[in-house]
Amino acid sequence: MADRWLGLLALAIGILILFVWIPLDVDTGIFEKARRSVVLGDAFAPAVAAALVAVGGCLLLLESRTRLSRSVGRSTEQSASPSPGLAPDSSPGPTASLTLDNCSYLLATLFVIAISLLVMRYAGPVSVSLFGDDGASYRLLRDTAPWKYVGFVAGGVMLVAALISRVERRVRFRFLMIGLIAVLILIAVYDLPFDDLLLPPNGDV
Amino acid sequence: MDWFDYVLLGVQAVFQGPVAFELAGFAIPISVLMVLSGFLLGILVGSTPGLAGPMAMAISLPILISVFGYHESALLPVFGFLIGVMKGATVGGAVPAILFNTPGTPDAYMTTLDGYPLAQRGEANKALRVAHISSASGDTFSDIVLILCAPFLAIIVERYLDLPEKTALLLLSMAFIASVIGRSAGKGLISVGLGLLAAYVGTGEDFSPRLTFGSEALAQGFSVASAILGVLIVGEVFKSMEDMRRDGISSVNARVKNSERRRGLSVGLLRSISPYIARSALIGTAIGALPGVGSTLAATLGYTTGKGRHAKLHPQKAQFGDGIPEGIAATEAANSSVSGANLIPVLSLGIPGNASAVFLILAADSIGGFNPGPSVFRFNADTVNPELVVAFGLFTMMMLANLLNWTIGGRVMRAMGIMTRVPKHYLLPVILLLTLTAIYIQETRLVAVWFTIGFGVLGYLMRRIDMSPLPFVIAFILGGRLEETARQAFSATGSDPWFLFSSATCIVFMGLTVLILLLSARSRRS
Repeated sequence: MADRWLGLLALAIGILILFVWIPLDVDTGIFEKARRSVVLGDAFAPAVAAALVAVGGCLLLLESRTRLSRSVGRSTEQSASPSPGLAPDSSPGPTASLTLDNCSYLLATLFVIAISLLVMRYAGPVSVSLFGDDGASYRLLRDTAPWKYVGFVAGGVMLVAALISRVERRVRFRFLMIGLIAVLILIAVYDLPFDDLLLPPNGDV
Repeated sequence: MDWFDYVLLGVQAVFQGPVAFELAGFAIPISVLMVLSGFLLGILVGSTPGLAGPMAMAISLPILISVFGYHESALLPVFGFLIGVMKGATVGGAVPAILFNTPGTPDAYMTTLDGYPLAQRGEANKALRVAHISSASGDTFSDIVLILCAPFLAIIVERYLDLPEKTALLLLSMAFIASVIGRSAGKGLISVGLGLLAAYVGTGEDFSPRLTFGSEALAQGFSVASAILGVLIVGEVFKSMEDMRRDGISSVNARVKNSERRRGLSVGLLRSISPYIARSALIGTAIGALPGVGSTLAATLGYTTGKGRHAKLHPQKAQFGDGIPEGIAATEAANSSVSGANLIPVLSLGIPGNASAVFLILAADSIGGFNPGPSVFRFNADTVNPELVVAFGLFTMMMLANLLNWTIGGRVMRAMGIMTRVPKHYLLPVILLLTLTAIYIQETRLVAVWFTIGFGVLGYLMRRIDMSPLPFVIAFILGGRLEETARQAFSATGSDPWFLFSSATCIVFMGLTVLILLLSARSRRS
């Protein structure tokens, strides 16, 4: 059943891309006239991609339709004569579904990552404005220790510790230490040996 | 210059390249050192459940590029490291499978069936030795086939296939990958379509970039690293963390009995496992040469074939699954012989067949100066083709990695049992941070990190709905080439809209494309 919905969704997305997104967001068509000859336009390749998504959806609908009718047939047979030879198919088959639990887990994880990245982005500038010299800006200090590490350490430790906490469903000081060790190793690997590499978020602050 | 000169140049590029340091008066070339480092790291990650070769390759690639730069001289050391990781991880995957019934890599699952019962009987050392010798044999055989086949296949492709045929061949490869990876051809095709679509965002020949919704950030398109690492690594991290949160954290507390004396394998045992190794090496190599068919299928086929043969020849003896060395040999030889053969489509056609090959292409793409595909084997008698020298350097490093595997691989592998005890739920968030940091360091813009997370969400959703992310990745890599070849083919045939059916070869390729998809969908239905 889940595959049927997925097939329909893919078909709808493929058609939407083909007839709405590509015409609105690609300036040239599938074929273009250039210097008295016809060439393939920029819309050609995305159109092929969208068509593949739609065809994939159709194939999936076909596959799931047959499976559904088979499983219905099998369950009818089983209820009619529950002989040992007609044990229900225990193989999972190609069907798998996305549950509400999966979605809520994903949203919570993304929330943790977003907060950690925001801390990573703004911890440096905020610390400079609080503890730096008067008139100092983070942009000028972004390649100067210790300022360049503030955001990466704060955001990185938070990311690692929060994600371990989510898996273990508890908060422990040890998780912060694991995060700190990981961050220090990354600084040692990426920052200390190379002058030209910038740790996040120092490249675009 | 003839072929032999190119072989010599390739060997020289590895052994007479830049020197890393001197040891007791001997200069150690940097490429040799990188193969060794990669190999050791590969065994380490292969032995750690939850980590895998592609993860280590993904994380180390930006470091390697930072160290060696974007120059052609970086190609061999970087390739050497990645080849080392690929081979080491293949061997290492058997360690936790045998010692703790936990496969380090998915293709080592069958190894648990006989390896773990052997370890429980106090014969862990013997099981590990059998796994090592089978893995090293399969891998070496597969590399020899690669070295012999890839150049000839590439020459045939260059000589007989023109632009329309090459376009049709790319479509055929994608259809094949969509059909064989995963359990549904429909899902495979959707995955390919999405991968192509992502590759076309922000690109094109027109002045204004396409499919960007007018966004400046999207106008530059998605980087290959963001897409690949997001879908393959971040998506897997999201899924594994949720699985552990739901199912609880399993810890490895089992103790391995070690009642045996530590000595080599007897001649009798070697003689009894040899036919299983040979058969599985052939199966694994044949499967590995097809793009997209993974080592897990090779391991399953190798095991099943060996099992049937053993039951027929020795019905009175202990069977596969009871804990016999032949079971380990059949599995390990099959899954290891995939790795070399998987590079046949990469080097001869430029089509990646598995995740490790994807990272080799990504490295080549990032550094420049080497475009995997038939042009690599373009033989010039008058001028030197540097790509051909790199290709022979690559082959040399593969054989060097095999030599390391035969000499020190077994010892290192047996010492890695401790890695099984590293808690996976501590590693995964660290891997996530490492991946995001690696992306940022390569791209130096925070939006690339957000793109990677976005692709991670896509990878997670794909795994949850049982859609393989590998066709997406392969399509993303091949997307640009497909469009370029199609444009050239269209122009070369005088703007013929039927250019994909312009020759008998094209018609055969296109017919096979449709046939593979239909047959695959039909077989899934039945």
